[in-house]
Amino acid sequence: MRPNIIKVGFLRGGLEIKQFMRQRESVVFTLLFPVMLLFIFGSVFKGDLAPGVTFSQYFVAGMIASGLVNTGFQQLAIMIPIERDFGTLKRLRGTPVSPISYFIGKAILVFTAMIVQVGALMAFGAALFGLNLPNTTERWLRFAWLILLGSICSTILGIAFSAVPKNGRGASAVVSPIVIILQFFSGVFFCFLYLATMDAAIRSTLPT
Amino acid sequence: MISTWTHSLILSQPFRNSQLLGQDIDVANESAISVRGLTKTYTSKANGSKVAVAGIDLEVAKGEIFAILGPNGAGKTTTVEILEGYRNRDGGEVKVLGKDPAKLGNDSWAWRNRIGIVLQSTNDSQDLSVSETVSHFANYYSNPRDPDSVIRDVGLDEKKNARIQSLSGGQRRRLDVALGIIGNPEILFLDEPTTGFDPEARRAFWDLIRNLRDEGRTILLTTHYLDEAEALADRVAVIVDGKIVEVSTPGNLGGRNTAKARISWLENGSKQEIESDFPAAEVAKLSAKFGGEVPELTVIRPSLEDIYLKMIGQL
Repeated sequence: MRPNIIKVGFLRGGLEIKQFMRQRESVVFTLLFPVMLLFIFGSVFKGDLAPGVTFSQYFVAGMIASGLVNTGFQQLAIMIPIERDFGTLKRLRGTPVSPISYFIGKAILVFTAMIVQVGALMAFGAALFGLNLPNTTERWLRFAWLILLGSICSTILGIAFSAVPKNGRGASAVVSPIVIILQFFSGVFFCFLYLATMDAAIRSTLPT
Repeated sequence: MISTWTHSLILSQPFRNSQLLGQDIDVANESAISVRGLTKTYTSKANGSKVAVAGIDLEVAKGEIFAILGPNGAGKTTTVEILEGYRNRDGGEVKVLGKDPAKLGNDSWAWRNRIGIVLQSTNDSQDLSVSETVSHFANYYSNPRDPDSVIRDVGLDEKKNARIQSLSGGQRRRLDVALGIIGNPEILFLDEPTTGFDPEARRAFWDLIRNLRDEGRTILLTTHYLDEAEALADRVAVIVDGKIVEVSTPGNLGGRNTAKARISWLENGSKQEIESDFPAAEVAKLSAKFGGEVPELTVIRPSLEDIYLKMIGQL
């Protein structure tokens, strides 16, 4: 009897989370970095973008979107080439484990990291920068499915893009600039209304 | 005679259906690994094309330790990785446990469920403990061994709860073996398992491999250490430049068992040397001639190392 592919995927997810939590650097950078950014940008740029909407409120939403890209796309596109270098993928290929189980494990890791990150951003945003949390069940549900959809897209794009870096050492140099440029054009750091109309055309084709 | 007898004994058992019987006989006669005319050439823009495997035939019986011995770059790893299903071949026929590793299709998991692979060098799962890793890998197989007993068998009991990054090179290799055997494999592939070991760790590792063989597993091992092949293998294939130079038991390799002895001595101020199948008789003759002791007398039989170096063209 073949071990259940979904069950093995969840077991891999548990293992991935365990490994992730034991790497202090990755925990700090993936989870705390957006909170730090939020704190700095949110404190520096004051003022209203529109009547009743402060820059900080806008920026929290932007950082949540950027969190989806960081934990999914960026993390996987850097992590998978490293695993390729370290022999993790080759070892797994020599066992009966299905690639589907491997990807389920990665998706669980991404989703968990994202929940923690989004939770931290929302708590910070609400406490310090006047972020309004969803106030009806319907809005919470809408928020939840957008996060879920975003995390699935981000995971799949990250797995696909992991084929681009030639090795683990250079992966971060290849992936990070792309992520930052994407975020810039998508209006994470500046209100997209202020960016020129030309990039609106570029932006509308980007995932964030 | 014996096989006919067994055959009729099996036939006389009425509860066995004929289909099952056919399978049993197949399995009994089949070798674990069978390779015919295997070839593989690598082509790259920088180096042009390099022939890694130039027509290899191999037959590995079930339950034996078979060593592929050869210098670095001889084609050992390429050959083994083709057998493990990691690489495609250019030509030839390959059967491992009755299946072609290049044509596994949807059944690949069932085949991988029966083999164990210990790769050349790995550096993964640094942040997990030995026991977490071994227990996790047990979930991949349909009939795994007990993780605790596997950890004990490879001698990592004391390091059970240690993080992998804290293990020494030899301990790390033992963990690799633990992960290779956790699925209870029929064939275990070991690619240069003891490179970088200190002598004591190598001895302990060899005992581990012998125990695995005694459990009935087939073991295919590559090595560039002669003493390793001699200590472990039931049969050795020497491979040079992608070709097998000889397949033999370690004791008979290169005609070592029948090689002539070389007798040398000093006579009239110059060194004399003869080769002979009967060294004792020659020495007796010399002794009579010199009236007792023979100046600077030596009698040497070629060591396995001499023979090996000659075979790989280094002597």
